[in-house]
Amino acid sequence: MQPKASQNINTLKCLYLVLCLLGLYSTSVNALVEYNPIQKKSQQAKHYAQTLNQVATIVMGHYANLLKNQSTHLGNYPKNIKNIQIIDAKLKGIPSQPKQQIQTEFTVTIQLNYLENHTIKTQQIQEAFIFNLNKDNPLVQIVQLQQALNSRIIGSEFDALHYLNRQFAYSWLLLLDGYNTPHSDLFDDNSANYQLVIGARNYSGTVHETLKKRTAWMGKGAHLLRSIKAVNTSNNTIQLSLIIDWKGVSANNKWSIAKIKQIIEIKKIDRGIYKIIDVNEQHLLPDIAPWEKILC
Amino acid sequence: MLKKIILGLLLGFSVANLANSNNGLSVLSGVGGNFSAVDMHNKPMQLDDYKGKIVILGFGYTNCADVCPFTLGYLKQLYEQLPKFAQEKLQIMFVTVDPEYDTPKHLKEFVSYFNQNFLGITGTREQIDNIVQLFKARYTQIGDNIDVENVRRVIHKKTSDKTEDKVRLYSHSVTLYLLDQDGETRNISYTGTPKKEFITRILSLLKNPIKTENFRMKQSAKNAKSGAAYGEITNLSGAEDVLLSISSSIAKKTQLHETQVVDGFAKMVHRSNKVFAPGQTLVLKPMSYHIMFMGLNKPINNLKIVDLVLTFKNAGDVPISIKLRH
Repeated sequence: MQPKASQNINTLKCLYLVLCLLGLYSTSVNALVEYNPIQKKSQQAKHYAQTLNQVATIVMGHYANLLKNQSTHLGNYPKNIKNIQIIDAKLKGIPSQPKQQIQTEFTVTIQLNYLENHTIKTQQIQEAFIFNLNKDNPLVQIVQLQQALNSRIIGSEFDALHYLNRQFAYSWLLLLDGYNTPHSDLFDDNSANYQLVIGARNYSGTVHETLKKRTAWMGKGAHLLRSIKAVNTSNNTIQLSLIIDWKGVSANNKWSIAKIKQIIEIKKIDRGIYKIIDVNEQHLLPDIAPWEKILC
Repeated sequence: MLKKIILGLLLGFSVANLANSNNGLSVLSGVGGNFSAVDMHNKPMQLDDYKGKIVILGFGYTNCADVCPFTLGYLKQLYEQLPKFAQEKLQIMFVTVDPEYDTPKHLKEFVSYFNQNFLGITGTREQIDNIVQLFKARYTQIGDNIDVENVRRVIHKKTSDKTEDKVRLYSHSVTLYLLDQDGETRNISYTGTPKKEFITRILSLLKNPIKTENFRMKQSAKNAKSGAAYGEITNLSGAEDVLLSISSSIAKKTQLHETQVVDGFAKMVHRSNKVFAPGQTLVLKPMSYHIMFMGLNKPINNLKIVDLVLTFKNAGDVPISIKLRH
C-alpha cells in the first residue's frame, strides 16, 4: 500500500507542477498578446528624455543664476564666479514609471573661475542634484561631494548666456515632447514663424500651428539634444543651431528615428527672458552607417 | 515526461517572444518622399505609383565607369536570389544624376542590360535635384567635356549628334535606400552589405508574410470520405514561422500530411507544427506534402469553391479559396 500511495502523491505533485506551469505559460501568452513592443519602446524613450530634459533645464538655470549672481545657493560657492564649465555629468535613478516617487540624481563635475583679490582663481566641484520630479518644485537638494583646487583657467565663453541658451534648448525639447515647461510662456508668441520640412512634407506657420502639424508625425516620441551652437547675430538676437535625435512612433505606427537640425532665432527681451523669432527645421540622414556619406 | 513538458513550454515561450520582437528597421524620418520624374519608358512617374511595392532606390549614371555597373550587378544578383513572390513585390529604381545625357531610351538600354525588371529614372535637372535632396544624397560633377572614347562604359549610346560624344563625369552617393510598401525609407545599404542580410531586410518588410499560390484539389470518387489539396506555401518574412493548424468547413478534420514510402508502402503522416524557415517554399504535391480533408461533409465533386484557413504562429490566419473545375 505504501509504495502505491507514494506513487499517487508523486503523480499529484507532477500534475500540480504542470498545472502551475501551464498557468504561468497562459499568463505569459496573454501578456504577450497585449504587449506592444513599439509602444513600450516609445514610452521608455519618452520617459528617459523627459527626465533628462527636465533635470538639465533646472541645472542649466541653476548655473546661469550663479553666474548672474541671482541664486539662492550663492553661499555654497566661491564669491564672484565668472565662468563655469561642466566637465562631467551622470544621471542616476531614472524611475521606470513617470509617477514613481523615487529620487533622481544628477551628478555634475564643474570647473569654475572666480575673482578673489583681483586675481582669477579656479576650483573644481563635484555636486549632486537630487530631484523628485513629481513635485512642483522638483529640485530637492544640492549636495557638494568634493571640492578640489585646480589651476586650469577656463574660457570666458562659459558665461551666463552659455547656460541660458542651454536652459532654453532643453526647455524647448520638453515642449516638443508635449510637456509643459516652466518656460512655456516663451513660446506663446504668435508672430514667430516655424518652417518644418520632413522629406516631401513642408509646413509653415506660427510656432503653435506648426507644432500641431508636427505632433501628427512626431507626437509619440522623445527628443534628445546632441549638440548646440549659439551665434550672436545682433545685440539682443541669438541664433541657436541644434542637432537633435528623435526616436518614436510615426503616424503609421512604425518605430522611427530622426536626426533633426533646427535653427532657432531668439531675442533677449529682458533679464534672460527670450522670445522666439523664427524656427527652421530639417530632417537629416540619421548617422546609421559609416559609409553613408561616401561619394564614388 | 515533466522535463519534456517544461522544455516544450520554454520553447513555446521563446517562439512567442520571437514573434513579438521588432525587425529593427526603423523609419528614417524625413529621408525620401514622393517625387515626380520620367521613367525609362519615357512616361511621367511618381514614387507614390509604386505604393504596395518594396523599392530599392540608388543613384548613378550610365557613363559611370566604376561603382554603378558594380552596384547594378550586385542588385541583379540580389534580385535573382529572392523568392519569386518577393521579386514580384520589389521594384529596383536607378535614378540618373546625369539627366541631360541619360535619355529614357539610353537609360533603358543600360538598366535592362542588368535586369529587364529594373527601372531607370530620369527627368529634368530640377526633378533629379529634388530626388537627390529628398533622399539626402549628394553628387558633384568632377569632369566635363570628356571625350566619350576615353570613358569605359557598359552600353554605348547610339547617337548621330557629335556634341553628345563629349560627356560629364560625376561622383555620387553609393547608398541603396530600402523603402517599405508605404514608400517610407526603412534602411540604407550599399554593395558591401551581405546579400543574405539585405534579403532578410527585404523579406521582413513584406506585409503579407505568407504567400499561397497554385492551390488546387484532387477530384475524389463519388462517395469518398477524404480529399487532398495541393499548392505552394512560402514564408516571405524574415523570421521563422510555424503552421499551427488548418481548418475548413467541408471536412471534420483538415491537416497537413506528408506521404512517406517505407519498404515500398506509402503511408501518410500528420505533420503538426510544421516550421517554415525565412524564405522557405513548401510545395504540396501528390506523394509528398498535401492538405488532407478527412470526413468530408459533401463529395468534393459537388462543390464549386473550397475555403480553408491556414493558421500560423506569427502571420496569423491565411485564408485560401480554391475554385474547383469539374
